[in-house]
Amino acid sequence: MILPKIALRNLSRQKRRSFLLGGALSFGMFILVVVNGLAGGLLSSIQKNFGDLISGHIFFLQIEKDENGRVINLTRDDSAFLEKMKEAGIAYKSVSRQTSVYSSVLYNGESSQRAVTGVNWEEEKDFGKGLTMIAGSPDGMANTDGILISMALAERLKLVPKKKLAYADAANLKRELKIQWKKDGKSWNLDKKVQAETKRIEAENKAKQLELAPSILGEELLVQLDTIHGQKNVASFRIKGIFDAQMDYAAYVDRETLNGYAEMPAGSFNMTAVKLKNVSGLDQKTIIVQSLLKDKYDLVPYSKIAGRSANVIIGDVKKEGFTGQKTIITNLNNELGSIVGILNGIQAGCFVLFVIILAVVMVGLVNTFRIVVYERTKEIGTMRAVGTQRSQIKNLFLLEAGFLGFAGTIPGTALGFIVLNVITLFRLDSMAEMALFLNNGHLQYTVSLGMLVGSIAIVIAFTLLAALIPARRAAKMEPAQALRTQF
Amino acid sequence: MKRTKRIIAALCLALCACAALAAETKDWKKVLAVMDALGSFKETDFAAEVTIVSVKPGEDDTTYVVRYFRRDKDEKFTMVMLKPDTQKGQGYFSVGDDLWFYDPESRKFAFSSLKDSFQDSDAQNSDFSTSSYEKDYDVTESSETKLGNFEVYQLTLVANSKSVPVAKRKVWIRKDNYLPLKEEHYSVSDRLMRTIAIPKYQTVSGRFVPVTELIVDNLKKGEKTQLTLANVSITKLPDAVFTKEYLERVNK
Repeated sequence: MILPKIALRNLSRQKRRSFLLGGALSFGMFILVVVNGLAGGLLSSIQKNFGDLISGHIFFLQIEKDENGRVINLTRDDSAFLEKMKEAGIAYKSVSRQTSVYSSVLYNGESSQRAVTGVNWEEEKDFGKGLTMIAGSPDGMANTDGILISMALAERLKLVPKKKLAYADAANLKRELKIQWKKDGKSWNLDKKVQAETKRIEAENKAKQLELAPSILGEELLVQLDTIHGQKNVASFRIKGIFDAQMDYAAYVDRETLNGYAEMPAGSFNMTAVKLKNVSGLDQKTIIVQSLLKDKYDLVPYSKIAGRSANVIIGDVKKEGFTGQKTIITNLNNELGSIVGILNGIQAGCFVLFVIILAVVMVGLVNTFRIVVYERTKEIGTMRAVGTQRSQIKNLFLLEAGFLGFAGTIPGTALGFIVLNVITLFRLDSMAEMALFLNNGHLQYTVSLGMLVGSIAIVIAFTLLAALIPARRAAKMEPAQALRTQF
Repeated sequence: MKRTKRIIAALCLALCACAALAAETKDWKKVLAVMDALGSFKETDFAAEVTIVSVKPGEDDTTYVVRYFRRDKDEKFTMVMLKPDTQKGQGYFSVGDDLWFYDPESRKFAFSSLKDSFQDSDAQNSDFSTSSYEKDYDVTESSETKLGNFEVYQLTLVANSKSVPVAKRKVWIRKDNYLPLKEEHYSVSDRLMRTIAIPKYQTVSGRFVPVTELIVDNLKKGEKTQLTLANVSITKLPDAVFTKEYLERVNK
């Protein structure tokens, strides 16, 4: 018990040196926690948002050729797939069978591209509940020509006025206020006034939008789409509801009505999307389901699916050529493809940076411990002379290194968490392009406990390794020779 | 007097019926074949400079100028953008139903679709390729009428397979030579999508070439695109023009 005390005392004897070495380790930990935490958070947000958007994490879809040899995406029966999911013990929250057609939505000469998505409203009762409705309701959508659109789409189609000030209007406002500001002898803060006025006008516009929203229910929207055979078609829908969406991507209609316009057989859909209860190990789960279904379907092998979106996979299968029906079992990670790759790359890059920092610190540690051994030669000689064993001398230095490593990681980790928490306080939902990366308007962070414990263990291991050679040298010293040493 | 009027009316009705019958009994497949022959250049190549002016309400007009080469025998066409300057050198190359877009900035080809719009205009990439009325469509209705100063047949064509993007067309063709003067494109749900007027043809080496086309988007009010052809030539072109490498070479 005496050794740890001596080790701690030795560390505190050279406060400045200990502080600098610990600080370097802290810096490495800080970078690791912040970057990995943010990258993990972004990944979680993307998985959640995209999972909500396409209503699932694991996807089952089938392709075949029509009479003209055109490849069509048509899924009719997913019972075997769901059976095998259960058999594999992969618990899921919901199953969604939707038809999605990328189309132009038109109103009075205005148009906007959207994924018009056909929902089986009777089967997916919870889907409508998940939409934040501003006007109208998803109730009674089944077998009708109703369409649910986002407020952003209503804005784009000029069904309601825009909430945000257009660039030209914002410039005019600033110019007018500047004239007034000069007239008033520059007695007030121009920037603050511009901000306040902009906020006021946008709040007014928002109020106008909300007031107008119920009045546009029932308006006819045209949807220009291609049938599955590639023919041009125009569908007619009537607005049945307006929802608020963090991610403005789709408009929702009745699946059978959309199937009619897309010339898809009744009851068919583009794909089955299964929302899992636990998203971890998504790739492994997908591979398990694939392996269970390999005798049932002509599957596209997972090696040709990994990292590719469904559209790319279908394109590749098309290029290779096929007969009959091909089945694709894929997941959200593949659908997100490069985004997941980039974020995983950031995490891996950050870890490499962390290891480089550690390697540099390790060189410093080796030198420091060599100096420490040199400085304490007489002390080591005395300790050895009063009966301290060689192993105890070695352990003393290793304990010092271990304490330094452990103590160095704590402030870096703590500071990292403080910074992450501060970052998450900011609301960023005003930046539409960030929508995919946000959770309720905020950035979120995810730090894996395994990564954290593992990193602390690596830091301690590195410092122990750095101290090992000087410690062994100290342990090998002969007491008499050590005591004779003169500096 | 009344009797005479009745006889004249009956005669008029009979004449109309005969004319209608004559129109109905016409071999429309043969007429469609003639229309195909008028619009294609199987035995030679075709080249022209095409000016495309896209008009959208509330926006400045956009003008594109492209050099356009066509070889109908092999179902190929090549286009090189000359204007606007920002898109100069971009190009399209098509064989059959496949179409590639070349971007000189990235020096890469991207696979595209004939069914897509040309740039941001109301013209479609398929407007530059050859198509066959005879092979793809059946005449379901016909009548005789006047379009401007011309006596025309108005034909309703319905696609006989789902492989063609436009399910139904109405065409107005001159009675004397079967040149199309106007077309309407309808969706599968029978909604009018596009109207194309061809007010001007030019004779080049004894062939009729439509040198002006006006395309109106009937779904987007006020949007229209005008295509004007100049420097038309139907002489043989080098084989190298109808390759992807040509698009790379013209940018060197």
